[in-house]
Amino acid sequence: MHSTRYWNPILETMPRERLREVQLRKFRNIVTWAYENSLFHRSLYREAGFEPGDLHTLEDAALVPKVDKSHMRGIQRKDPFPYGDMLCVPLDRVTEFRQTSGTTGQAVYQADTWQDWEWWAECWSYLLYSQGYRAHDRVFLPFGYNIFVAFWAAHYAAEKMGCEVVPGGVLDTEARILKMQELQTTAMMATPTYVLGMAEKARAMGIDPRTDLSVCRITCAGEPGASIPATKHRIEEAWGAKVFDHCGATEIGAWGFECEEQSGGIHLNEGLFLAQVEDLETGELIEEPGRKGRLVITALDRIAMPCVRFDSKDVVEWADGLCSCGRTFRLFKGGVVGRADDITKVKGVLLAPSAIEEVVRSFEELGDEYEVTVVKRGDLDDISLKVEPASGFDLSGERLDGFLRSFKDQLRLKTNLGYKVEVVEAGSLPRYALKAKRFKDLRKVNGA
Amino acid sequence: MSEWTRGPSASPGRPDDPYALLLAELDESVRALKQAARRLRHSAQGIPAVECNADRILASTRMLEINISDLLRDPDSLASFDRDSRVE
Repeated sequence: MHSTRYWNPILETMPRERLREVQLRKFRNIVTWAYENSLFHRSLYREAGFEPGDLHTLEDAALVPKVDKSHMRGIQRKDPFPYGDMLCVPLDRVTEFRQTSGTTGQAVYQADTWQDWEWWAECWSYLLYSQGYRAHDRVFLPFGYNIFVAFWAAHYAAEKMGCEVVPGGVLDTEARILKMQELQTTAMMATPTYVLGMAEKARAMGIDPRTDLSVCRITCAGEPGASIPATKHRIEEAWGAKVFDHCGATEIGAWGFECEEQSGGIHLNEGLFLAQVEDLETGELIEEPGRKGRLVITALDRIAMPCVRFDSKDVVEWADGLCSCGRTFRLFKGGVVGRADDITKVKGVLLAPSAIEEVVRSFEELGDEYEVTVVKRGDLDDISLKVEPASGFDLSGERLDGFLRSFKDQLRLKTNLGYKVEVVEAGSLPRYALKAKRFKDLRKVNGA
Repeated sequence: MSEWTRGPSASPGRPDDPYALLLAELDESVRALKQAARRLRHSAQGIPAVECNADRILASTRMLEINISDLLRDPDSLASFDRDSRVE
């Protein structure tokens, strides 16, 4: 076999027509598996008048009722404890417990068999290989190795591919940086927020990540940052490394990746997942590029707690055409551009918080952190934005006036909204180790 | 030209499917591997060191099926283990 740029060239370059045939067979199989082995799915499907035998084409997938986090929360802590009757395997076949971070409410518990865990690593292998990870890499993983799925499967995937994996678990940020320097690690994975924070910390320690560390490849996940051009640029500048995005979730798996071509989108791994994009308001199926919708996704091979037509609430948009990398897996333009429950109307305008980040991080005068707050004053929405000056920039007096004019113009241009902007002292805004919470909508809290 | 159209084992009968021969060869090996691991699992007579390691091999074999065999046909089961076989 010749050398290849693909983890599985047979699947990744399969003609789309054949790929769709494989997806239909696999979708039927996982729906049947869920129906036959889980009381939850059987009841859900019967109540909707659906039987697995109703699936004849991929268009029929829309007949299968959707599942979301609220379903999973509803059955949790019931028998078989603690997963409830979504579980499709005997409890003694469950080898992994993980739970979601609880960012949007009560944490969701997730069971996996060892086979599922192998599958998780397989998903990650597709993405790491596409991003250029190879056996000669020494990979540093600066995450907590705790109850969240985070980069656990990345660890196993990198091992499977032959990389040398350095687990940076309980070390603090300073110790992690020193260990990376000592071991000359060549790659790492973390949230964009943490990667930026590490660079800031390293510089404070007198270590320039671009010249004093050996990292040439960074994979980001957990937040949309690595697909936001200004944030990606900041991380690449700070580290002197290529930065790649990846998308996934505890309940779904690692479903998307940006490949080495970096063509402005992320591939949906269509060998292992089937996705539908639905209009945010009408639920109408979107097949064409240029329209944003919510991602409804199925993991085609996950068996302990099947993920069938899961409403991810991720907002995505199909890209036009295929990537120049040669993969026939479709792309989502700009990655996950927001969350259906984050995109909110302010002053009657639809606002995605990622659009604000794109503007903030495109100004070199500003640091990485920011905080957006929306409140109600009378009948009117009021949106304010706190930012910090970047190191070495003096934002006072006339300089501040000039900066604010230009900054507010860009914000209005990109988001169609006017903001109250406050430049606060450098280092005064909260720092986040995992998923950042920079957008605060206090309108409901205020009782408005 | 895509990887698929310049694959290494072009079949004269299926010019659109250059990976056909390679897929068939790999699938045969995957099947043999699965059969051997299953035989090992069933003949272990309760020896944990054999049963548990055979289970791991079967889980890895399922990944080979996902990458290879499932592209040709449906698997006999989505699970690499018998639902009724307990792990002691």
